[in-house]
Amino acid sequence: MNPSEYLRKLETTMLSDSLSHNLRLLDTIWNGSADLIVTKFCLGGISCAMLSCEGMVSSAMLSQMVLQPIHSIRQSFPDGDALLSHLSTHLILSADRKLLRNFAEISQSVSAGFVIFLADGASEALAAAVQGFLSRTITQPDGEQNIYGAKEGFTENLPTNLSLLRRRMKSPLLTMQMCTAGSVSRTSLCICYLQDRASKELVAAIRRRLEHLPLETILSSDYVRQFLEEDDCHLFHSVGTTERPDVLCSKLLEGRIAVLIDGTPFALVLPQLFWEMFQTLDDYNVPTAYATLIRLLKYAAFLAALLLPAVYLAIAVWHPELLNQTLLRILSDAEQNAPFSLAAELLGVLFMFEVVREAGIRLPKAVGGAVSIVGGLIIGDAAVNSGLVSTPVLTVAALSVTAGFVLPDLHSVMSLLRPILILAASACGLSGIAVLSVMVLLNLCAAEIYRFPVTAPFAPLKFSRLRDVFVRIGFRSLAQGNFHVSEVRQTHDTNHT
Amino acid sequence: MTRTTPEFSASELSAVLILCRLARFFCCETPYSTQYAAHMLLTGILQAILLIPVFLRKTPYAVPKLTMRILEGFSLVLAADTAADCYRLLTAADAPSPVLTMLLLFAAVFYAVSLPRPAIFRASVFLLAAAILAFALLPLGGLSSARILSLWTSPPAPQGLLSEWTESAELALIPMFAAAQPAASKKAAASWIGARCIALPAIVLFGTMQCGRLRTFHGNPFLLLLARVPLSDALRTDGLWLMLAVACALLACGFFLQSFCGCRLRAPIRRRTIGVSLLFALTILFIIYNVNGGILACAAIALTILQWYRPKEASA
Repeated sequence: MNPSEYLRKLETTMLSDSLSHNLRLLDTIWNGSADLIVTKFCLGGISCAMLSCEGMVSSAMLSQMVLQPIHSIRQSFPDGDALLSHLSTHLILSADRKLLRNFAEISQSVSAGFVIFLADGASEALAAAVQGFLSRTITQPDGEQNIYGAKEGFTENLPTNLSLLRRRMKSPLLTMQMCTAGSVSRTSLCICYLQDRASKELVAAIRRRLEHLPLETILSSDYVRQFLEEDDCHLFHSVGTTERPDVLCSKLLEGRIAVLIDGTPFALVLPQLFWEMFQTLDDYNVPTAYATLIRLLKYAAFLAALLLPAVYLAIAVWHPELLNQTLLRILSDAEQNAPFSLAAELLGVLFMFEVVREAGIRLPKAVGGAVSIVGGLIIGDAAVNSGLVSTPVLTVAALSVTAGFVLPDLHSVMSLLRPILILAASACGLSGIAVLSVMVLLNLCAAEIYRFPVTAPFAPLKFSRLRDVFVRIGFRSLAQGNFHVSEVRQTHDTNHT
Repeated sequence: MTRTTPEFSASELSAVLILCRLARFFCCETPYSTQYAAHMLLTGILQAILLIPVFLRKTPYAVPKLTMRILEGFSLVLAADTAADCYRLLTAADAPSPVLTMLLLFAAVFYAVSLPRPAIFRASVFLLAAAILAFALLPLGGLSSARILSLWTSPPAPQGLLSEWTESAELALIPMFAAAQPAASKKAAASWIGARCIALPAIVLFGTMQCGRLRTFHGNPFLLLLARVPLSDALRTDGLWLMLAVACALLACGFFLQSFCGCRLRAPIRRRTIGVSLLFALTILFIIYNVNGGILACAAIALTILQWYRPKEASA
């Protein structure tokens, strides 16, 4: 039986009024799982059972909000339903209380940290929220460091993340809609948007897509991202991620929609326009001219990271007339004794870089640093000294890779395209690079998400909205007429037939 | 009532039309002389007069079916002719592996045609912006070596009037777009005329002023515009202009081929891409190996094939 069918079966299995029967069935469903704690006791003359999940419940909350109040019961109750009703309305102090009718609801609530009361003679169960599992504290996000902004980042705990968002946006317009996805994991997801800015049709479309995710479990935000994006054949992401609540707030203000996922500190934001990958929070914390300089630097870094090795190869091998005599002499001296072709050298160096990078990421931090030193300094130095790789090649590859670090969001695209461009340059020179670059450009221009072209507002051109794309204009001007993402939405259908 | 976004904006159509002209400008041997610049200007004015009906028209109109088919067939020929010109440029500029580059270009055009139609329009805006930046840098690179005297001493270019008509053949496609979107097409046509009458003659004049320092004439002299004068340290940029030329040619071919597939079709043509690309390849080969009169023959072939091709498209 697949997980969805199993869940449906549980949903149709209703609680009976016999406590022993319910407990027996529960034991069968949970297969005697060690973390399900069943405590039997008698209350008001009625046999009861309390269910909880090991490690998911706060002992202090359970004691103060549930156990101490119910301990004061002295009177008798005619049946289980009356007892649970009394507990719910008069005694239990937990803010989140609900009545459950089937075993699917019970299983899900127990797994979510609720404590469940079953009573003999009651065909319903009472659930009270006393969650208290341990989670990582709020720290500065590793992937989105900034100098002047807040030092808070999302954590793996969804309620904590929602509170971080709410603290920055105390408006009732901020709407948070919960849903569940993953047929086995039943992961909680939250769709966040500003109800006066986000398109209702878009919210509904996203919700529909989330509720029908064909996934058994959601272990990271990318599991969901790939289903929210419209096409698999685009190189550039049209759904962005952020670890920062302040960044997410700014996106929501522009009419975007966010999806927060329990268990991951990365919030998904859609639609993401291409230019947003070049924007950081610090751009808005420094003087306008400096912010513009940094912005232009990032575009230059992107082009350098992508094209520098290929252009160097094409010029050195096929178009040496583009170099002046001094440069040509340096190059020819360096390459004179190199045992491999320039293309092989470049591909080899880039391959080594990717290997060192992967090793550095996967290993523990202390060892990872050592790997970077060994890889970057010792191997690089040894390769040049032994004559396996020429110094200009190593310099070009290092420049390209370092430039790529400026835009971590685009790292995967750059790593993928660099060797392909090198091969094209090796075979066809600069014209090969031109053809491949236009193909990449076409791929970018064809990308749309829910009819938002990712290249907007440059193509389709909205001149007035370019004020925060290549340059960043002053805050006074920026504050007049906020950008709203719906301005760039297309209404014609450009889907494939 | 839901507002429908036009399939292309005026800026996008302008960009793609100007790129088509730029592709020909780079790929064909433009003579650098004052007379040729004057011919360019004169042809531009005549073409602007021809476009007056387009400028006057305010509402969408229906192009007769036969005219539409002829224009679409003509688009195929234009695509193939542009690709053939690009091949000639690569050969003339001694570019590495021209055949391999053409195969790569063919694959790229195949990909471009398979994409939704707005992709080419949007990519054109990017490429035109890059071209404008490159042209803006020209005076910086060549102003010191420009000689005004060359404007009076440049050799005559008698073929200018004729070649300007053949190299701006995208003019014929403007009514096809104006039929669906008169407002956007009107602005696009105005931009195209502006680029034809002002920007290109200015570039040719600037090139003419540089000609005194060119020692050899090989391929397109424009690509040697910033060529290094002996004993100077200036870098040559012809290879970089070659990149721009190939990129423009690619997008122009893609645009012409998508026009061939039917300019009023919003949906892309994934299923028909293979057929279109095969026709494209055949036409290129025909033009490359039968330069004299090849264009007319290709037009005849394309129109014949269209008779078989269109009913299938209608049923799809």
